[in-house]
Amino acid sequence: MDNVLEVRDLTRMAIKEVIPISVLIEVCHTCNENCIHCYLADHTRRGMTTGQYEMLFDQLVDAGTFFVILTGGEPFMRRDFMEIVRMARRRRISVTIFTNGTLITEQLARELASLWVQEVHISVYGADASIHDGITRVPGSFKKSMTAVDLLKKNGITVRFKSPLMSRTADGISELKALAESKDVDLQFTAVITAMNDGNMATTNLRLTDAQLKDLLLDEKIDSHTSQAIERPSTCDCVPCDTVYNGGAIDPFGNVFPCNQLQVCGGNVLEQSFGDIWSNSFAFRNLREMRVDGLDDCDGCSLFLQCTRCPGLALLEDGDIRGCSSAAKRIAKIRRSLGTYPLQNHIFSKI
Amino acid sequence: MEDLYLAKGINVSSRIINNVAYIYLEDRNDLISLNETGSEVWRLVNGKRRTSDIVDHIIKCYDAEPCEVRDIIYSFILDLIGKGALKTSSVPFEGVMAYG
Ligand code: SF4
Repeated sequence: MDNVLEVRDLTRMAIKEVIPISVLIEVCHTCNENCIHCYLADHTRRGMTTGQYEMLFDQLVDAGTFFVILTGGEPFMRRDFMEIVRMARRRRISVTIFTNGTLITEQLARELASLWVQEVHISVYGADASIHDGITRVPGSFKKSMTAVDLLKKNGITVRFKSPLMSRTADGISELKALAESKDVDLQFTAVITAMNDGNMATTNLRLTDAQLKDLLLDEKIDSHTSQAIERPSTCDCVPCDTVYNGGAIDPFGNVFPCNQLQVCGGNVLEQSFGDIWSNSFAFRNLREMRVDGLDDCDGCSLFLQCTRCPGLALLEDGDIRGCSSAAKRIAKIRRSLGTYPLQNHIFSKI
Repeated sequence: MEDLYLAKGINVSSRIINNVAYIYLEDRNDLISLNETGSEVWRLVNGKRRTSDIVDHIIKCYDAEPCEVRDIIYSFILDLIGKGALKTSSVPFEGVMAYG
């Protein structure tokens, strides 16, 4: 009566059926750190009420959501955060939490374990306090984050380090890898620091330099790649990103986006059900019509096979969801000079 | 098999999509999907029904040969209990975490 599957089978089914199988929820934008690269322009948003989250989870269940990522700001800044986790688990929604970890206590770690939270991702910028605390601008934050890692691990929770790479942290990558290994946690790098969500580009000054990228893009852990170009499928049945088919993101005000990086709002869950927004909003239906051969600059671009364009970044940083993403172009050019091709090419997600 | 109350384990994440139940066992990282009858069994598990309630419902629903169905459902439920996806109790499950 049962059939063993992989998570990617579920994702594929979701894309085919247009089901928001994995939804990211920003429960607040308030934070107890003040990271120099943060994409949030406003840290005062506290988020919806506990009761409104109860209603939201019912709507997510109706829409078919299986996984949620709970994030902030710093989600543990909310006094009711554990209640929000319980609400999701009560409905048997799988929960992953993105946090800086600084507020996690022994008791919270135990409770997260008893609720079978799938993973906790902790932002870590370097292997020692001087680098990490320099990014968070909060002395002592590294020590607290590491204590959280130990508490979570002790309680059997899968922990992952998330490390957005910046020019000033790049030198410490080997030490960070060693730290992750010593803590027995997985480590996930991001090579691009994005603009702030109000379009302010100041954070992009923190990006890796070209010279650093040349070095780091050869590292499998940072850019999984091949030396052979992946065959380019017909672009007419390919979409620039599949998040609008299987994703979704909700900000602290209840606004619904396809992804927290793609600032196209479909509606607000305080005015309309999540499922209705997901299926019927004009903005989302319009996004689902987009095809790769309708991207003004990309179709025929000589960097197409080296590029991992994100439509959200193209819109946020370059002002045109159908145009070239300057951030993607920069990295694509470096891949070309290195003779590498990305293993996952978001430009041609096939539906 | 004793006629016990059944609830979905808190170690489980699950959703019924287009009448197919998908179950993820968080402690084993295993994902399974259930066929039509299995999905109906899964839908019926709510902490307040006993195994016999569920079997009776399925027999009625599918107009099937009772003995055969009973054996199949019982062994399916035992399998899910063995995997840790279902919990049993001699009294109805209390508390909101049994909602599932
Ligand atoms: S985003 Fe720019 S560099 Fe990348 S394929 Fe499109 S046009 Fe070319």
